[in-house]
Amino acid sequence: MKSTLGLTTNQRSLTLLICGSILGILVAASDPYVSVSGDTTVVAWVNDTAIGKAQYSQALALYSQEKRSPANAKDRTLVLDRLIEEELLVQKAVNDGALRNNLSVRQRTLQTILDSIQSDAVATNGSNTESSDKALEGYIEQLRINATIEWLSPPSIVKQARQ
Amino acid sequence: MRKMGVNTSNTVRASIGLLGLLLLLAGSNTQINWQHQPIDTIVLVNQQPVTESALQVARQRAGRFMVQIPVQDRDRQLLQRLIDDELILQRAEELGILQADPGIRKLLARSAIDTVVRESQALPIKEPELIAFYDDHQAVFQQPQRIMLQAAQFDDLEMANISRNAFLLGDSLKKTVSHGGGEMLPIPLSPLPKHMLIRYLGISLTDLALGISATHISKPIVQGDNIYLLQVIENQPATLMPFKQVRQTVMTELSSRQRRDSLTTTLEKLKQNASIQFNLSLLEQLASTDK
Repeated sequence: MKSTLGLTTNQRSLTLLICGSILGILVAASDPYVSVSGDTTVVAWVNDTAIGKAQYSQALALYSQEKRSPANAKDRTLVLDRLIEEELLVQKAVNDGALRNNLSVRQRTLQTILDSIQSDAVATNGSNTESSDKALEGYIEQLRINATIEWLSPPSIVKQARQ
Repeated sequence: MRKMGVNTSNTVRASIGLLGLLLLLAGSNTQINWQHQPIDTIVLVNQQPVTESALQVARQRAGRFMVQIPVQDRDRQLLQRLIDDELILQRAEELGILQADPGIRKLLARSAIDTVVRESQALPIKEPELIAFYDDHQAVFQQPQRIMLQAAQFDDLEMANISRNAFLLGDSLKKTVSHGGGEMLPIPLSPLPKHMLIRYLGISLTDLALGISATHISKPIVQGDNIYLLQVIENQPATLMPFKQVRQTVMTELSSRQRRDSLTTTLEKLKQNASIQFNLSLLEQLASTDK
């Protein structure tokens, strides 16, 4: 009876594991964006990033304007291909660490965030430098509170910076 | 026997379980961030390193603005600034600003191109490679054919023939043309390459001129309402420049082609490794709307 029960348990766990594996295979084989054809706002997905209909239409309009004639099938393919290439280059740059290593990208990104915080502050409190600075300080303080900061450096710098 | 069976069953179970987990991991869209901490990391901000090198760069950049601040205080301020910057950059990533802001996208794409170009330029060009490129692209490194000529234009075919005959008897073209009621075309009297001649004569007359030997005159050429005579004074054939003389040009041309090729290759590789899916129904719909 025991052995029969044991065997049943073994069989059950083995079955569950097989089911898990099958599920794993299904998940691995499936793609998160299989349903792309049903989307009315995205013309293509490049890895996990969408190329939007608006972005594509705008690029196509600019191309036609430069060409001074309506876009044909070849032009549409070319424009979409260029957008895909641009997206791939953007992804490559991000993977290569350009956000932190490329000074222009870094500065521009920081500036964009700071500008948006200041615009929000201006929209709320009017164009007051003091309130803008306060909003900025508050925003950064909030980021600091939510962050995990782990010091690894020589004590002299750490000690100073922690103060 | 039974023990062996149980062991085998356990091994099978463990293997299948592991396989399942691996497949789940592969199938999921999760990116595992294996941290490669630089050796000079001072502080980790949400696992992102802020390094001594970054601090060094910040010191250099801040140089003249922070001269009056004591070194320790300056480092403390700079480090805090680097941490705050890192937090803002992480926030920008979370908000998807890198993807959404067209200006940042352009800078990122430019940065990727610069990286590819820099990598291709880092490979030294060896002399045999340079010579092989020169041999394979001789047309690029030859001095083009140049012609010095005079051209006359007439309204009347007979007058053109009279002028030509007078020229063949020893008169100068200029003189015979003025007597025959024609006019000389304003072409500089120096050896000119094809592309320059086209500016003065157009394509078809230039092609004819290139085939005329030095000191010879063409038969009257009828083009539209006009008749032309072309007298070639000097015809310098195309000459291949010696390698030593054009070595620098060969180097520049090869580097430029390598840059272009490496960018094309990189884009091809990126495309091959990417998962690209098209919304064909929407694309077709947009195409039909445009029509």
